[in-house]
Amino acid sequence: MIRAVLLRLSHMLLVLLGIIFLSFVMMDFAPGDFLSQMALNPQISPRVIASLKEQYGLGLPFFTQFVHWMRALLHGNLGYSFSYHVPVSDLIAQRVPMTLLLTLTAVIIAWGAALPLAVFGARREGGLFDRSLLSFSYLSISVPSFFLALLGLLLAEKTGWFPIGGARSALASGAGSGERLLDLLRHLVLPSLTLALGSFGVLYRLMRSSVLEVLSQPFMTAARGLGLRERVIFWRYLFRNAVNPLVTLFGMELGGLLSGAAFTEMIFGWPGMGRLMLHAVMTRDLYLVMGGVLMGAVLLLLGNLLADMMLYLLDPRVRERT
Amino acid sequence: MREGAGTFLRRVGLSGVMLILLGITSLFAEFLAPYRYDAVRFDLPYAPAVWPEMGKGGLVVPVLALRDPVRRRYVKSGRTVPLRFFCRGEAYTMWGIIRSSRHLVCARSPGRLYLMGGDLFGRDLFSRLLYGMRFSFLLSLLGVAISFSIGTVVGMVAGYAGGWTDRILMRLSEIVMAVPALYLLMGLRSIVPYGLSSEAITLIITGSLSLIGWASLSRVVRGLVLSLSGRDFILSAVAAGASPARVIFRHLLPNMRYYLLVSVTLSIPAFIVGEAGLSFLGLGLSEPHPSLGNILAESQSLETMNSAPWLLASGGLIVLLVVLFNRLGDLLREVPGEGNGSHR
Repeated sequence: MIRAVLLRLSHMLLVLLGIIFLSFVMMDFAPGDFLSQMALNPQISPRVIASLKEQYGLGLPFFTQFVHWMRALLHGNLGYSFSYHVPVSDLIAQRVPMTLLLTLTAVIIAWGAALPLAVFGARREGGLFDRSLLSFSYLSISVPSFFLALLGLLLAEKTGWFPIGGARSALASGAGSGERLLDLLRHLVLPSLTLALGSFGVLYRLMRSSVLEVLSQPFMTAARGLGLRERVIFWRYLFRNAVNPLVTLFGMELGGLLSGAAFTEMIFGWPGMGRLMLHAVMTRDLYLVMGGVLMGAVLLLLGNLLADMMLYLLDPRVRERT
Repeated sequence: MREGAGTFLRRVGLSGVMLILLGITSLFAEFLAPYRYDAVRFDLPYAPAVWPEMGKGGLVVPVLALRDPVRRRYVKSGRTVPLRFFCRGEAYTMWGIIRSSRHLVCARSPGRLYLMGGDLFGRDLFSRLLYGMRFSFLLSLLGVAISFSIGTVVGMVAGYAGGWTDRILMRLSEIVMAVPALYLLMGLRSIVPYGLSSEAITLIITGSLSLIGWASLSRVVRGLVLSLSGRDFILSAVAAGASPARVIFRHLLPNMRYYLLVSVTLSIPAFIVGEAGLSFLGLGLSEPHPSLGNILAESQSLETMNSAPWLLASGGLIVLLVVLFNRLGDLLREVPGEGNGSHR
């Protein structure tokens, strides 16, 4: 286990290094650096600019600058956001938990709904239930997340069931922590539901075909023939085998999920990474944009690692190979 | 391709036929749209749909009157203007070469034909959707062409050369795929200056989307090359002294074309949605040029959604295009045709 994880980690580190380099090249490409914009701001003294220039090694040759940038990154320093006037790492540390909360809730909802429904649908393949869910998942795959979020917003407005926008309402200052948590959860429902609805389709279709394939395997017939109890057959034979491809998919789906979460955040005003990034792009806050790109990559890579580890725990064949 | 029209139609199915029709429709947007995409009527903000009616002497278009400017309530004023066909309207230059002012239908001012309603500036939504759909088609085809070329070349080289070349190229594609697409798009968008012409923006969006799209395609191609190159006909070609170019162009590519066609078809929706998403956020094509994304962006506020829900139709059009391309891809994959049999 440890060896496999270490192998994955070293591989990931290489990819991460590539992304750091990529984002650095992108920053280098941008016309001017962020200091040239700061220099126009009369509120910032030339001394501050000079010290920042030295700190980030601006004006030095390309590779020296890259070394400076790497050294700063190793110290957890992602640069300075000139639109918020705080270090980028502070901003990201504030926003990442919110994005994770939204994404994880959506993952739990989508998997919690798609897996049982897919097993149910596959057992009555071609039935009305199965066919209607299949068409529904076709739609779910085809509706872009931003449109889905807009429709969710419309629903909230028409019915008044959900609070609109933001992550918390203006509560009385005396509200207890329990009340505040409840408020946050109420705001979480609609964004996470729309996000989950978008990833339901892929999950349903994959789980369904996976269950169908396992059902047709000889070992299922053998298990039946041995007279094993239905519950044992279901959990140990059917489910464990069928869920494997989905765990692999999780890593791949996560990228789409994070992008979708970004759109959802922007439309519902959920204060996560996506909204932060959009603001950063709009105000040309380069360090913040690149910090966001890096953070997005880190989240995705960690998700992949998690999926690998899950697969390792679930599938003895994978364990033997490594 | 040596096949009759019947075979072709059976193969592409209803979704293929609909896509071709939509493509042709958008190609002739200048002629088919009653108005230019930027023809404004400031006196008719968020005008509802106005359809032709039967009147004296043929079809007529009722003239709208703004009854309540605050709530934007419209009534039919009772006046009408005749609806004419193949008439002279606003002048245009189709595809940049054909100068004309003929339109399929027009209604003379003060009447105005709103088949699907209008937007804040009184521009005709139907016309804007036609132009926007054309933009989606052109951009996604161009984008697919670029990412497909890069992806095929990279996948071929990686799969065929193997070793370090393979490792480096695949790490490169992993780097691209390890960043959530929207994050990478925003990163790329932030380094180009604002205030560019719409042509430049189009190229930048297409370029950014292709820069992301090639990665997954190259992995598909590499997998195909690897699975094919162990097979007898490739081994014998190599043994017979065929050059790598000959092996690739004569043996590998022809055997892969079917799979490539399927994966290209299935990758088009990503371009349509990617462009629409960027334009929706205001990072893509900007006003007055219509894109399915920036039309949808107009209906972002709850107030607009209430007073002009028809603007959401652009989202519906995106969904339709994506569904059709997905269906077409699935259909192509299912058809047991050539290529399928040769290496299964």
